[in-house]
Amino acid sequence: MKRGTMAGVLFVTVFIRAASFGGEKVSGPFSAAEKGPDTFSPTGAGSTATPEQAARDALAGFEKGNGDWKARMEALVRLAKIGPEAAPVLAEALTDTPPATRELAAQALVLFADAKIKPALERALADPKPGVRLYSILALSMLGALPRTEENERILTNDPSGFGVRPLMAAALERADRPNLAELRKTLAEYDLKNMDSARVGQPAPDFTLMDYTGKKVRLSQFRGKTVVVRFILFDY
Amino acid sequence: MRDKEKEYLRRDVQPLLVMAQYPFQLTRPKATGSADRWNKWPHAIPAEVLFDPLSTASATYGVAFQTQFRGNNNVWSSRPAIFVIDPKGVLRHVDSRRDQDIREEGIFSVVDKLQDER
Repeated sequence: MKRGTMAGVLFVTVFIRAASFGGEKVSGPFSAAEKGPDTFSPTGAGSTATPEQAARDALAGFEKGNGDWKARMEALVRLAKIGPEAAPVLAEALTDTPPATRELAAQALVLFADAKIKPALERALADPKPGVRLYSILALSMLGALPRTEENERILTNDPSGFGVRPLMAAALERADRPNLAELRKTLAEYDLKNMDSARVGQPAPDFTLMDYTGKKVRLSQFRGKTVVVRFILFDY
Repeated sequence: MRDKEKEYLRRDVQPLLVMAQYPFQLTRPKATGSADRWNKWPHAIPAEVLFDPLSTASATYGVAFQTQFRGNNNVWSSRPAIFVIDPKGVLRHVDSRRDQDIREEGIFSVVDKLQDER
């Protein structure tokens, strides 16, 4: 690991323990327990495609595109708009599709984790592409801490991706929070793709609201009157 | 970062650190055996740490899903970048690297120049 990267992760991790900030305290998607049935399922106004077909179209669109970050974001937003009915298609796409599609499917399934797709995600833990294994672990962890099965212990100690899969498995085995997946999907589904890459020097900085470690919402514009340095930092185990 | 605390405070600058991951991914599991190392790190870090696991803020700032380390062995991360925003909310400076975090050293001179202009 590069020293700068490690340093970044180190100081973030320690700081979050002591973070104190005057933002609004909310019950956010990072920490809220799943409440009741998962009902958020926008159908996409004007679309006649079934949710399954819409999910296949989203994956096909990603495959046909150049696979850049905008294509990835667009596909994820489209899938979030479809809702939980996209999950079976995504689970199916974990096998017999190109590696980038399998990875995208696993990444999207992080927001669709439920008991029905758990077997598909567990099978994907053996995928040759580390990104698929990573997002499958992440998706499974959305259901709670992973059990210390023989297979999970094997991944923890022997997965070839020592800087990615193994540390994530270690964190997933001890995960304590239960994210509100419906709220996360809703947030992503409501993201306006026209806002992508809209920050320009000399123009008003695009506002955003994110959560801190404790679940407090923090909005960029609340710091108006001060110079703000926004630093997107690299995450690397 | 602790060394930079006075520099941020002296300039009345609010640093925001944005990570495109879930908070639990930052916990340092006992299994890694590095808890002591983490605990030794300075605690007084003058920054607000924000989480952007859906990459919505990262996408708006044009840095989403652009970095995977170690031959696709890692999760997608935002492209490391620093944005300096003046007190009126106008974006004044951008610095970005493909695969390397950006140190703050160069940012303070940018901030000083901005504040001198006011």
